[in-house]
Order: sequence, then C-alpha cells, then structure tokens
Amino acid sequence: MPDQAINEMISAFAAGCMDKENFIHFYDYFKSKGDLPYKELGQLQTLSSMLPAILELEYPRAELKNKVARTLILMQDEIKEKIKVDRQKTIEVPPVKKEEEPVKHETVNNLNESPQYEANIQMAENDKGYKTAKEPEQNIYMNTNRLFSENTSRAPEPPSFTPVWIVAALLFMGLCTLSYFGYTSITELKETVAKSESNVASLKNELRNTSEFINRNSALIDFFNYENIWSVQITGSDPLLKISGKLFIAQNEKEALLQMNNLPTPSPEEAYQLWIVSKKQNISMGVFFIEPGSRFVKLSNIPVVPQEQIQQFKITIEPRSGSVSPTGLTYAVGFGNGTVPKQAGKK
Amino acid sequence: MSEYKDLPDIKLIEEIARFKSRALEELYDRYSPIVYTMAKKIAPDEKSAEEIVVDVFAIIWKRAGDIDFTQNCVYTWIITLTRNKAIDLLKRGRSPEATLDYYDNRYEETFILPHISHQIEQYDIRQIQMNKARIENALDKLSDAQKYVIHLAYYEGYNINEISDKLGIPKETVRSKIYTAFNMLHDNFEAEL
Repeated sequence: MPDQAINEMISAFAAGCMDKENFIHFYDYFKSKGDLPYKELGQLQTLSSMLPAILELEYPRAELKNKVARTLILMQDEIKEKIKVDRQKTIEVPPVKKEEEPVKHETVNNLNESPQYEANIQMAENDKGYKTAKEPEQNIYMNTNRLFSENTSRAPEPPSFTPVWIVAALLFMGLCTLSYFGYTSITELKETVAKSESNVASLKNELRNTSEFINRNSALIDFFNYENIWSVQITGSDPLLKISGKLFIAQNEKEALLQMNNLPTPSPEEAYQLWIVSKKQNISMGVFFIEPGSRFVKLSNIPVVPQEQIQQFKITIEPRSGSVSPTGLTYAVGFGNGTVPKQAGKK
Repeated sequence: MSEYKDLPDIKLIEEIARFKSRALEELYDRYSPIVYTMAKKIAPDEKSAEEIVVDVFAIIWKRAGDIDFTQNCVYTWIITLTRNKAIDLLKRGRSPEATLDYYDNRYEETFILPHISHQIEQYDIRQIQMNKARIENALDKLSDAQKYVIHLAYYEGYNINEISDKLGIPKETVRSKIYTAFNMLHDNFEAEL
C-alpha cells in the first residue's frame, strides 16, 4: 500500500473516524502487529489526545466521586470473579507440572542453594569432626577402662590402642559410604531436576504453540459458537485451477466465514469480492484478501438476505477497493440453498 | 492518600492494577476534571456526561491490570477511552436501535478500549497541562475547514463516510483533509517549542 494511503489510514484511526468495517480490518492488523509506522501512529494518537487539553476545565460535582466509589463496590463480585478466572488461567496452564515437576525440583534447589542447606552441611561437617575426633575416642577409652576393670583375674596389661583404630576405621568407612550415597543421591536429584526442567521447557513450548493456535483460530472458534450457521459449497469456475471452498453464514450475527482452497493470489492492485445474487441483483458481501498460509477469511457486517431468496454466491476479482457491481472474472460460485453446483460457468 | 500524591501516572496505574482503591482515588482527583469536561463536550446532557465519568473509572478499575502501560501512555489511554465511551453513547443515541451492537466485553475490548501504538511517547497529565498554550497555538494555526473536520471526527464521532455526506465532498477528500490537518497540527506543535 502506498505511504500516502497508510498515513491517511493511521490519521483516521488516531482521529477515531474510521468506518466500522475498515476499523475492524485495521484493528485486526494492528493486533497482529502488522507492518505499520507505529512511531507516527503514536505521535498522531498523542496529538489527538491533546485536543481536549485546551478545553476550559469543568469540575464534576463532589457527589460524583461517591457515585464512582459505589459503582466500584458493586463491581466487587465481578472483580473477584475476574481475579479467580485469571488465577485459574495461570493454574490451569501447566496441569502436568503438578505431577511431573514435583517437590523434587524445589527441594533440590533448596538443598543446593538455600542457607538451610549450607547450615545443614556445616552441621554435618561439625558432626563429622566431633564424632571422628572426640566422641569415639572417649567412648573407646571408657569401654577399655570398663574391660580392664571387669577382667580383674587377668594379668594387668598395658592399655592397647588397637580397638581405637578398628572403630576409627569403621567410622571412616561408614562416613565414606554415607558420602558416597549422599553424592549419588544429589547426582540423581540433579538428573531428575534436569529432566523436569526439560519437561517444563517442552510443556511451555507446547503451551506456547497451543496459545498461538488459539489466538490464530479464536475468530473461528468464536464464529462456530454462533447459532444457526448454514453452509454453502463453493466450486471453482475453472476446473484446471481446482478451486474449492465452503462458505459458512451466521446471518443472525451478520458474519460469514469463507474457507478457500487453491484460490490464486491476486495482483497487488486487485482483491476478491464475494457477492450474493438475489432477485437477479448482485449484493456485495465484502472484499477479502487471502493471507499467505491462511485458508479462512472472516467477513463482518454482511447484508441480510433471506436464505430462500439467495440464488447464488460468487467470487469475482475486482480492484482492491472493491466494486459496486461485479466487473471481473468469476472465480468460484456456490448456490444459495446449500447444494453443490453441477457446473459453474465463467462470467 | 499522600503516598500516591507524588506518584507519576504510570506508577499510579500500576497500583490500580493491584486494586489499590486509594490509587484510583488519586487518579480520579487528577483526571476527573478533564474526563468530565470531555464527556460534557461530547455527551448530549449532563446526566450522560456523569454516566460516562463513572463508566470510564469503572473500566480503568477493571481493566488496568490487563494493559501493559510500559508500552503505552496513561494520559493518551484515558483520554482516548473517555472519547470512545462518550462517542459510543452519542452514537447509540442517534442510531436506530436495530443497528446497534450489543455492548459486551468483546465489544468493549474492540471498540471502547484504546488501541495505542507501542511506540508512543509517555506523557503525564501534568506535562500536558503545562503544554496547554503550545497546543492552543498549534490548533489556532489550522484553517477553519481543518478545525471543523477534526471537530466532526473527534467530538461529533462522525466517520469518513458520514463527514463526506455531511459536507458533500468525496471520501478521498475527507481522508486527505484529516491527514493534512493532523500533519499540520504536528508540525505546528513542534514549531511551538
């Protein structure tokens, strides 16, 4: 689109004077972060919001503040519900997490990083030193004393240090075993954490894909929630092009969803236009563009024509701004009563 | 109240997003005059203007947490919200009932909540008030026709087709007039520095 047209469009958007159909197109494009001069748009939006700044300020009566407060109080339930829904959303997001990323993850983190862990390690080290250096010696010493006192019939022998060494060796082995098990447990836990993290990453990825899918298809989901949708089979005029599609119409909502296959991409100056043929008159349902990679097009604010009065739907190629009546080639047709056309002819 | 008094708009709105009612009270004190003035200019009567003020602050209370104000401008957002709400009420008054859209959350999200460029500059209401003379001078330099087109679009809520019908000029001319008017307003505003 030429720069001038874009600039005019963003000016109209900033001034809030786009007609509904164009606004919806622009809004969708804006929401999908389409290519727009955002800096210029920001400047225009700032400018338009500055317009009221020159008005002579009037102050609302004091009671209005109380009225606002009363309204907010009345909204409490709605807000609570909103918070609940928001929380639920964040809780619902990783349902598997609860099972697959259990306390282990946090416990290991705590074990490795928390002050408690360090304190525990310190205590354990102190314990080690105490037990190996002091307690055993004392106990052994006491035991050996007792042995000496009980075996009075024996000839007195000089005190032997052999048992001390045996016990010390046993303690040393015990500590080695403990250290080994401690080390292997931590390694196992670390592996579990790594696995859990990778699980979480893949779940997040899955979730992101799901969210993207939902975002991409939310318009479709919304549409198919409507009641009284009827569909029309669309067939290409030229069998070589193998154009096919389906038109879903929710007349109560004034919306239609067009699913097209193999519709060729028009030149930049052209677009497709969908028509209703009723009582030999062509009524435009709107101009549409098939985005690359997308098969669905939503048409809003479609004209309301009773189903029984619709003879035909047809898709023609028209100038990009659309035409009042069909001027270009007919690419596809569908019949109003939902039947598949036997043979579609070109205009 | 004093703890919020000196907070810039963006911090204040962050507190509102955490449902701090005192923060909303401070925002009300700051913004209610301009919101009310605007509402009164657009709405057909005083009662409707008051209704708009109540609705605007209720929307802020309900929606502040959903908006990323680090990529937005609180002032522009509130003013645009007020304008959209007031124009919606005005249009509902002048359109036949059968053609009206049902006002629900989705409608509010699409047509009432402002869609602001993420590349907007941050302005505080106090900064805007300090620039009042600059804005006035910039507007004064526009031609009467340009001012009228802006007025019809911004305060009367007419779209391009309706302005075209009203003035009896082609749609393309209306589009280009709005673009030129805003462009000149921007240039004049910059030149006032």
